[in-house]
Amino acid sequence: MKQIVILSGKGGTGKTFVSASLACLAENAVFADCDVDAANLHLLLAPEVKETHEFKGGRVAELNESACTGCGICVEHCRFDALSMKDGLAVVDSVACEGCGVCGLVCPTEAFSFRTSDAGRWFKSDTKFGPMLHAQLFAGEENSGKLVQKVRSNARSTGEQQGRDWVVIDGPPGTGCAVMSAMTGVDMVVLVTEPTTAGVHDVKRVINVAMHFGIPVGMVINKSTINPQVAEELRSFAEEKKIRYLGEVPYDKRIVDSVADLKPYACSFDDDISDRLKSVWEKITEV
Amino acid sequence: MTISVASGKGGTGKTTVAVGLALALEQQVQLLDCDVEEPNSHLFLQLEPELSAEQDSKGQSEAKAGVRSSEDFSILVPRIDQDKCTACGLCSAFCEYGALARLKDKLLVFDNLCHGCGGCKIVCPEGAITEAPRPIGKLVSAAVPGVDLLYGDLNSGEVLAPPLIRAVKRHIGAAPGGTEGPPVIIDSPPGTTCPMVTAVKDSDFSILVTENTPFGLHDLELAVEVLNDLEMPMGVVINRSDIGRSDVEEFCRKKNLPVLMRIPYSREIAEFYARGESIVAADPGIRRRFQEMYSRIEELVAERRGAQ
Amino acid sequence: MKICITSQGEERASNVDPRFGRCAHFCFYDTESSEYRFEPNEFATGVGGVGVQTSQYMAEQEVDAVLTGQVGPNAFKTLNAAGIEVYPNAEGTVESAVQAFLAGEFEKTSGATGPARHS
Repeated sequence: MKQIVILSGKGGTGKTFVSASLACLAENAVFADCDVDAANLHLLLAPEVKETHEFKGGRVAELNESACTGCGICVEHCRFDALSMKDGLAVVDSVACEGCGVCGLVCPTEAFSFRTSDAGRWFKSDTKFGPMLHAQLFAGEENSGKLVQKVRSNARSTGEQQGRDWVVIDGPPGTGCAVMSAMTGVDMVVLVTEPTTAGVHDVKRVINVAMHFGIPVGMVINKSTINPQVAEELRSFAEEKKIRYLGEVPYDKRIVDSVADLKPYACSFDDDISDRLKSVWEKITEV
Repeated sequence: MTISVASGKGGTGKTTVAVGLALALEQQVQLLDCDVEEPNSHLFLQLEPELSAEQDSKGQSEAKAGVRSSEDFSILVPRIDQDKCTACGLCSAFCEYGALARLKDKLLVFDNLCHGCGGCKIVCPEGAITEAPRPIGKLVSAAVPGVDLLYGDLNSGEVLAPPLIRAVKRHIGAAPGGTEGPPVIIDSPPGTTCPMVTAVKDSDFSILVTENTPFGLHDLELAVEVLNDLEMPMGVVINRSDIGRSDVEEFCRKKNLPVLMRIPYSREIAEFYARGESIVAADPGIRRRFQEMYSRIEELVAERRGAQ
Repeated sequence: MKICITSQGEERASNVDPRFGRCAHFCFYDTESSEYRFEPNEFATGVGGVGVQTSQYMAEQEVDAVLTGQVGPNAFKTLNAAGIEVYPNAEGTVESAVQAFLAGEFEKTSGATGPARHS
């Protein structure tokens, strides 16, 4: 069973548009939407949720107000700006709180306790094209890396149980914890980039992280026609860094419309654009 | 006044709006780029990201622009004095992140797992722990006429965005003489989770940038929920407003969200963007509209304060 | 001596698991008794610092050497501090890896073999 993750660095390059097409082209695959913050793949694959699971996040400090003397020692020691004083009582900012436990340690009246936060949900669903694992982190929560890991490990075990050949993972934007969890143990990172200054800048950052992990990288240039010169720079850059060039897709209103109509392109249309997407998929299978 | 620019979905035009607003205002402005995993604002101000004092004159800048300074940002990680350490293991038992491991008669420290909470030092009964800085990113400051930029740049492979975001925000400046400082514009990371909340927290107003597509609308709903939890006054900018048919306007009406600006799709803006040039360079007329948006925001913030 | 082989399954015919910290099972082999003992890896689903925890467990189990695929820097540091030898790049079945080890075909490593893996 092979695993691929689709990443882009910055948002808006067309990652989910490409992921949905690769997902519908992959035969015998299981899908994982690892953009747990602002999940979008489900909008194009229309999953039917079969199982819903709770996701517990990290620890969060809670104050027993009756034990608080307002001494402020906790505020002095908190390194994460999660504590402040209001009306003579300590107040915990549960989003900023990292659950380290220092406030509990220094409080002279033991006024703090720690609970695990109810941080999100993950789902196992069916789609027209195969089973899908996806999730939603609740607003303001962190530990997205941990939730991505849950989605990944369940996608992997579903794939193994059902004898699937592929795990196709739609990755999150950025280069942080969630991206790294989406990336570990995959056979290939497929980068969707756009020929813009910001696009190039951000994709280089993702490439650094992928190389740090020793994972082979492939590149797709989306909206290739908006700046042919930068597109050419991207192709040379790919060659120089020994990144596999998988293909390109022009900027086209048909693509914008397909997303607005919630249709995965490669399986909904039969034209030059779907041909390009099919060719990207073929190149991936060759690696 | 501090205005944060955020969005649920990435790629809707946050940086375009933050930079556009900063350049359009006729007063001195502070622009803080808190998207520390992928800071982009500096790309649209025609600066060199490396430490060079070269002037950039690509025809758009009116005067000197350059990188003023770049400094390491560190968190504090433990260092164990093996002579004082008795390997009691209290520190590794306390650590929530697995950054300390006790092995037979010694303690190992794993810098890359440490969150810098300082608890181990407090808990050690022998005073065997001191702290040393571990750089996790950089704070870079630069300027162009009218805009003082500060951004955080998280090192590749690091995961702790919030401490660096907070460090950027600590530079929100006051003018000399104790009066309120210049307007501050914060370019936030995309999404709705911890890094975004850390960036927008305590601002006076948030602009949510969206697009009229199913993804844009879906993620706007998530972002609005977060900002409501923070009781943050907000408004929406619809980018590429004439493309797509997802009823973002209908959603804004239902939720009583002011639509502050509509930016229609323009090939010119897209091409300037692709080259790393700001929206104000592409369409000078848009300056006026950003200024009007700013005045509108001032009114909304004053109204909210009056109502409280 | 006591060695631990990271395993994908619970039988001698199971394949070696190339991951150390997050391997599916541990196989403990005693060279004196020639016995194999399998255990599931309870640290595999941990959030972070898994390599360290797994390594500490090896120390608790008084393992002398580890046979596996790749070992990251945190795990290596811990195993090394515990005096446990690390033999990477093991392949094939658990049984064949053990035989190859006993025949002296493996070389131990003096450093981490792979990059740090985050959760």
